[in-house]
Amino acid sequence: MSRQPPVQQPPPVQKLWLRYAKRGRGRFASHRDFARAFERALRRAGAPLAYSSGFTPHPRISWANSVPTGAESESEYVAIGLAAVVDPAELAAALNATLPPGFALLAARPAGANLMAELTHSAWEITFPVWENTLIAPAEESSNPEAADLAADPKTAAGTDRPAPDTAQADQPNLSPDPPLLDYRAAPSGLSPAWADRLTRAVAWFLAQPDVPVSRQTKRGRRQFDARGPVVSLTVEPSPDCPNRPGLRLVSRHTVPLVRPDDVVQALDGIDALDGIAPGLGADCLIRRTAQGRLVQGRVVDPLPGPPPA
Amino acid sequence: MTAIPPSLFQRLEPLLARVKKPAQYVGGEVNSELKDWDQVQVHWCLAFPDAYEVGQPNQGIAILYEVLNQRDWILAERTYAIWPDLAHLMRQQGLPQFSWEGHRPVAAFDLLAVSLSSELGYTNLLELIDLAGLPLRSRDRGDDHPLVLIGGHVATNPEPITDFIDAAVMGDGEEAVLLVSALVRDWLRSGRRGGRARLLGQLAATGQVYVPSLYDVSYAADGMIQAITPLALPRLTDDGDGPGGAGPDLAPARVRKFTLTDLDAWPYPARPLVPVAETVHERYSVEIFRGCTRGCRFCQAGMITRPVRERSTTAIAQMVDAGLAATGLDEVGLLSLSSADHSEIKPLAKVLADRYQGTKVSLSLPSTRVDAFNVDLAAELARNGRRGGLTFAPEGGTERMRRVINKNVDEADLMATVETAFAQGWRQVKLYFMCGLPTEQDEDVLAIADLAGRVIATGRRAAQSRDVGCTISIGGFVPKPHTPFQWAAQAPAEVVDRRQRALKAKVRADRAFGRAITVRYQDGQPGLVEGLLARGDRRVAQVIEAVWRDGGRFDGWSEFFDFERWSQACQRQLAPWGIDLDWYTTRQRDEAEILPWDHLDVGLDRDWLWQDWLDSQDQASVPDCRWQGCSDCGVCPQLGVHSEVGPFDRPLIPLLPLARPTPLAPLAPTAQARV
Repeated sequence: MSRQPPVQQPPPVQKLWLRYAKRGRGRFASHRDFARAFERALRRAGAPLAYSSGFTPHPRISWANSVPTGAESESEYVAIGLAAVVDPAELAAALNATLPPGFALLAARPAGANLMAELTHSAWEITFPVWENTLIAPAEESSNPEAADLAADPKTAAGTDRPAPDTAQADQPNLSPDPPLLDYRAAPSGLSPAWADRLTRAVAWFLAQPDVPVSRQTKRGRRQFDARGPVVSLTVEPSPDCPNRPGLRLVSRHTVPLVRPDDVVQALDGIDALDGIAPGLGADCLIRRTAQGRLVQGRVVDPLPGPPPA
Repeated sequence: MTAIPPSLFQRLEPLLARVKKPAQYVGGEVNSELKDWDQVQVHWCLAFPDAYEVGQPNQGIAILYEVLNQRDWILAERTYAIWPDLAHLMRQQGLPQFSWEGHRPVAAFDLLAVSLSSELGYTNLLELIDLAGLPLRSRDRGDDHPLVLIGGHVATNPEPITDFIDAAVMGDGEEAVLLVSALVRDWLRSGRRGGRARLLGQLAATGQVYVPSLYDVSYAADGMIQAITPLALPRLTDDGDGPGGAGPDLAPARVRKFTLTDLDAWPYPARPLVPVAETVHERYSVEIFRGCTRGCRFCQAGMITRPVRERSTTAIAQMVDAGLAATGLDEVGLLSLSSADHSEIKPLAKVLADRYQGTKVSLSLPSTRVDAFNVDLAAELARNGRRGGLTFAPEGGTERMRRVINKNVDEADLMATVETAFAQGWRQVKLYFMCGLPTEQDEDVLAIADLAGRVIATGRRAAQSRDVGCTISIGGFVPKPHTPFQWAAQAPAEVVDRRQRALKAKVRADRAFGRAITVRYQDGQPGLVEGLLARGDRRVAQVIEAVWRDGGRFDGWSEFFDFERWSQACQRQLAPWGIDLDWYTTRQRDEAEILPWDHLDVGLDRDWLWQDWLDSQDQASVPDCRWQGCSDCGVCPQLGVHSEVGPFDRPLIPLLPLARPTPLAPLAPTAQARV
């Protein structure tokens, strides 16, 4: 007996575009991690998946421009093919009921012509961690900083992993005592004016350049490319999570290779023309994509609208 | 009521951005449970001391997680070994070992229950205890520290780690964790009356929980164990405080393993966790039976899990259906120690293959049984599409070797099996063997090359194609407690390495078949350390601690294992006793020697084991009691149980194709949009 040729699968009956968010702990899932979790969520939700033909048929799921591991996003896109027609809103609700915490389905609609063609630009927020050199003086900070919400995740808000205030630790003779606190979400009492000033000057310098070369390790080795060209706008703004935190807003055009927010941070960090002092941004910044779509009058407009503001 | 422990996640989050595979640490997997701390009375932290990708799919943890969390008075969270990159940052930042569900400090739980399936996890156990902020040695722990409990196969000889644990449980965990929970609850309710000592005494008094501190081990001048002596139990029921008022009762002379009966009454895991981070096995697994009585003399799992207890086909089919719906997984594994041996495996395979025909669910039966029936089963299960590999385990290269280990397959069986496999369309088979078995000579290992050559010749004939292949996978044999080979001398690492290399050279030199055969083997040195830890006694604790203090971690991973570190620690720590690594590994024991685990009772009669050891040297076979009568291994009368084998007096599920109601009803055809 030899192996049978594979059965030809019928084409999908319905194609949908979905927009989803990665928040809080969900940001640590790699794209491959989320792809597996999403496929299983579709099955638990009872979605009538269409499959590709071949010896090992795969569900018809195509991904667009996923954010780097470690970044949050309010604007991720995936296109799926189904073997039966369903109500997109019902599918979104069924997925939201079964996705792991940290992921949320924001919108679903019948597919248009070409999803990638709709996604030409991204808007980003970049928040810097509370590092000693960003603060007025670490000693002035409260020893018990007010805990900020992990994220605007409804599952988080329901209390499933809301962080409790940092109370005194149990005896830990084997652990080093009293280490410096490194925290993204805690609210510092104030920002060092000198540090904020350096950040502002670095941004101004960056925008004034015709090009700023950076390099990044890719699958094909270290690649050098220009981080300035694709940047449409870059501004210093307080973090939306906490007004006392420094942050950046970035709008950039999608290019190959894609210039990511961490590339722009790297470009700023590498500036040594400013009194010989780098801003010291480090690689620990928190990145969030807030919108993805076409650029309309300087703003990025998503092809699928997000949920109404809470 | 103790304070609700804080979540450490906020402090952990910035560290996760800097480490490899951060998604493994965030928890929140589908089907995981985060209960309110103050709504339950007993808090368990279930630990697997290896990386998340290895530990998360563990079936034992998955079962106990559900058994415990189903009780409204118990919560169970999980923890795993933390990879060295994050462990280093956590120590810098003063963050302790945490639970995956609530990111709560492990030290806040009432119990830290560690599932140990391999001796090479011992250094990770020490790391876990230390990173949790607990005193490394059980004697230094106070009433507020969690009880450190271990289970898993190594619990049948936990002597090398008894300094670090409070108690060990052997056998099936389902009933054990509930018994322990009840005793812990009562002790907590009493305001921890009598302290930790009384709780340990109560656990020991059950006769089924091993509390090492209630036994004294003494050694003779020649290094042998002189005696294992039960000590007085602390006062268990009076109002007196502390262990001072010891009554006449001693700890039980022998501690018995737990044996679950009626597996249908324990259909777990029903809703296993679905990881987001990638793990080594991502399938829904059902144990179709527990235990094995084939009697392979090298196999500890087969000896310590007797008797055979089957799950009925009805219960299995129901678990598969519900488990797929609860997880969204599309692979099913039908697990056991020898899955083709289930009494109703043929109707079960047919029912499942029929049921999932036309869906994308793939079914697999991890069976290494050497017979054509096994191939037919694999073909039946693969009807639906994806076809897995075929693996057979002759274990020994010659008939003589196979009789020594009681693996009763002859070469004709093997050739008939591979002939069926190649005739049914497989182009590749995998064969498992062991190296370093008792009485083994170089010829026994070199004969594997000839056997593989005949497999290829048979395969080319059956497949009518030269395009067939065979992978030989060789494992170094490590003698284990509670087996007939517990008295055997382990082969020195040099001997194992020499024979494996010679085999590989012989296969390479074979012009006719060499290129169709792949040989895979591992170095002999990790096996020697495994042997030390498997048959070690309490003196080995100092070796383990020295290795861990020197940076030893993840010894099961070849990129971390460092034989030199173990070898030096052995020299330093064992010399005062006049013994060494060889004394524990390559030395043959005699019948009278007191073995470190002689007080631990898995039901096997010691005289039967000794006779089986003698039989092995006479190449005498012992039949399987499921088919050819009892050989008096002792398990059934000793444990008050018996084999539970079908056919079951229960109907099979109806042979209907799967029609699960879906929450997403397709819209009426008129509403279809053009897409």
